[in-house]
Amino acid sequence: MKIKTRIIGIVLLGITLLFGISFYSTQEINDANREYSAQESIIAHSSAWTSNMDVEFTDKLYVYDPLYGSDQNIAYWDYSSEDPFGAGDLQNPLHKAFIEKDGVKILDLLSSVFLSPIETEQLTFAIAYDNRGLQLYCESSLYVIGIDPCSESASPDYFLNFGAFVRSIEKGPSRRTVLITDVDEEKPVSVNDTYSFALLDESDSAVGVIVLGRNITESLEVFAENFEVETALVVGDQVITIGDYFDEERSDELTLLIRDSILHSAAKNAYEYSYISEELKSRISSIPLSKSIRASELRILLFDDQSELLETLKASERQAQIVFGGMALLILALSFIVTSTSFNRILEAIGALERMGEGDLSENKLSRGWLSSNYDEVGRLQKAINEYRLHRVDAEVQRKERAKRRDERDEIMFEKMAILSEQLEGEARTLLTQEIKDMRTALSSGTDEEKERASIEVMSKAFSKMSDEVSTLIDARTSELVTAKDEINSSIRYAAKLQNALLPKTYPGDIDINVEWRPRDLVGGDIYFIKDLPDKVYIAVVDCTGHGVPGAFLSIIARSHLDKAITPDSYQSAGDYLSQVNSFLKETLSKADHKNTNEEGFDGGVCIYYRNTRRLEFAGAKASVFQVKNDGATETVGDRKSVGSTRMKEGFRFATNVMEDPKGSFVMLTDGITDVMSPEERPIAFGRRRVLKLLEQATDNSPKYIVEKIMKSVDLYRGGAPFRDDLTLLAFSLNESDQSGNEPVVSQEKA
Amino acid sequence: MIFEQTQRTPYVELTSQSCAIRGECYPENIAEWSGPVLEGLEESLGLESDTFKVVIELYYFNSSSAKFLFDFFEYLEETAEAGRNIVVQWCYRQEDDTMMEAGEDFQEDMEHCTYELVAINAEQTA
Repeated sequence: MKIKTRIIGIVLLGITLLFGISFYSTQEINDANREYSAQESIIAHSSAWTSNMDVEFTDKLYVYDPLYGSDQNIAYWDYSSEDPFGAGDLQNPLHKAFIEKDGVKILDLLSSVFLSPIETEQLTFAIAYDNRGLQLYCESSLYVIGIDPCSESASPDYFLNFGAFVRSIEKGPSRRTVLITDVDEEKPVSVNDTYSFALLDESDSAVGVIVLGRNITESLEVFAENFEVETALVVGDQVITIGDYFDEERSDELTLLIRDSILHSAAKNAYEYSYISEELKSRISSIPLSKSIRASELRILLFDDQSELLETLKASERQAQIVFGGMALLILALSFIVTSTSFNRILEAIGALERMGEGDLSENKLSRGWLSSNYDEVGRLQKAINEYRLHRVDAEVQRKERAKRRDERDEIMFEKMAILSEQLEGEARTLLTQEIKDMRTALSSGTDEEKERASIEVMSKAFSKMSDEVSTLIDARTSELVTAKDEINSSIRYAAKLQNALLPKTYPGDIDINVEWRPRDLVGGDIYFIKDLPDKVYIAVVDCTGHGVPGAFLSIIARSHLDKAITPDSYQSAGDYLSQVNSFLKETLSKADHKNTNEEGFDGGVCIYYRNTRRLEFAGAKASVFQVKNDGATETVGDRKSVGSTRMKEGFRFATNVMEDPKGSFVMLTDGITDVMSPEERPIAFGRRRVLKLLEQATDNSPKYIVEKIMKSVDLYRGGAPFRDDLTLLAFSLNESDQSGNEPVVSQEKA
Repeated sequence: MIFEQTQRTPYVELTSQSCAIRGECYPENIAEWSGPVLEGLEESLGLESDTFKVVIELYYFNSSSAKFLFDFFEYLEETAEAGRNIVVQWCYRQEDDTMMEAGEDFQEDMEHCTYELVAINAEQTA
């Protein structure tokens, strides 16, 4: 069942339930109302009737009361009253007549009292009996209704037990309702309000009884007229209407009303009641006729025409039903409209979502509908759907944009690959061309997702192709670079070979020499120089400024000057020699660079050994020579000027140091040794002092041992740190006599 | 003005009243580094006329850097000769005879500057 149908069903059910409850409660209220109005009706009618009867009684019957009636009347019935009838009697003649049962006298006397009131219908009848029930007088109205009380066939109900009746009224007058029936059953029973009293003698015994009566029919007629009701009397099982007394035919309507009332009485087993017969359109009430007789024996039926009231009631009830029905229909219709509109809008929303699911993103015409707003639940749903749609539209635009960019990217990829294929030859080219074709096919069809996948595949393929190509190119370039580097390296190696060639190859036979020559790079600024002449030997250790190739160039210049400055045939002090080298070098360098701003030149020391005199001289430019003997080591410090330096006073000459007693070994070195730094953060250079200490501790003063000892110590000192400079360490000792030549022992580790 | 220390160049700090050089000095091309330092020194000396204090604590310098130091001291000498009060402190570690000797070498040329050789303990170095 649809939700809409369910909701409307529930509304319908609710309305029906409400209607039922309201109907039921209305019925209940109506019933209670009826019950109440019935009681009201009984009380109202009863009291109205009773008071009416009482007024009649007081006015017309009670005036004859022997004690409280009018004075004249009191006098009539008092045995002791004097001449109440005005006939000159000394004693009340009525008593006498009753005692004597003098019917004529009684008739005469009572007629004077009752004839006039009977004629004026104050009384319906007056009857007198002796104390045994013998009727002595009877006078009745001419217009008597029902059986005439004075007729032979009339039988008043007190005759059922006249003795008791007499005894009761001996005690005092009595008002009672008396039914007089027709023994011949020709006339209907008459109902009378009576007042009976006894005529008492001196001893308060009854000598006669007088019964005065009024037929109630007249009162009933008046009551019916006043209250606009129809009436009937119920005497035992017998129902008498006023019409009955006049031999009138009872109307059908009245007959029906009476029957209904009797049936109601029988059904309820009640004699006092009031109800409305809707069928007969009347209120039917039953009330007792008087207080002195039971309602079961005698009561009055009142028929009140309620047709108008009932009509009004019916009309208003109908009206209420119409109003209620109308309301129900209105509510039903409204809820139907609201649910229908809401559900139609929801259905529209569902439709819109379904269309979106199928990919239709066109704008949805979502209706507003009556009794709904953009801010109710459905309105918000519609708004959300619209926002979702806009979002989808955006996404679609982005997707298209992406696809377009992808296509462009693919196109570039294909172009590049085509260019690449053109660079290839033979089978590789055919293969790549085929691959491009295949990829194009893959990209030309399929869904967006498939295209995206294909595009990524194309990209990765293209990338791998190109990276292959690029790596081929890189390989080629790298091999070029390697070749170039190799060429440079081989040039340097060749340069190193050349520099090596400039180093001494043979040592003088009478001098034991050991050298550690280690340029930082393959070539360097350090060189050592040995010139062996017949009577003297020059030994120099030189550190040219700079290192690497520039240092090597300078070293070649320095070497040529060292060579050129030698005077082979004459004595030349070491200082003079170094000064000569200095001037040559300055000359050369100032030609190339006028000021020699780069301060090119060299530090170094030179020793000249004169064989014949065993004289050893030393001159140093920022260099020392160490002498190691068995009893210790000494350092001879050279000048503090560099060779080639511009910071030299005019005419400066290097000093000559003569080494007395040239025993043991002599050591010369460049700052590659002394400037070896310790590996800490604030390093300290190895220093000359450390060299001197080492030499002092030397146990063997052979050049070989000394070079090894110093190099070991230097390597230990620098830790893992690299050499910063070229280094040269040369040690020599002068053999005392042996002059045979030795092969040079040169260690060139890094050469 | 500060020249940060590198592997081959020392830390240099120049103010209007002082110049501090600390570290090792053996750049591949000394002119490239020394040019800006000498310019900076000139500028600093021109700022004020009070005593200018130069503190040098070097652990190693190569022969081409020695040339820079000569130029450096020469400039200081000229400025001092012109009347400026300049104090030079050459600091060396007690066990570092190489630097001590280098300090002594420079001292020889100084006439107008107040030149002090300061031996320091390794731990004392700033």
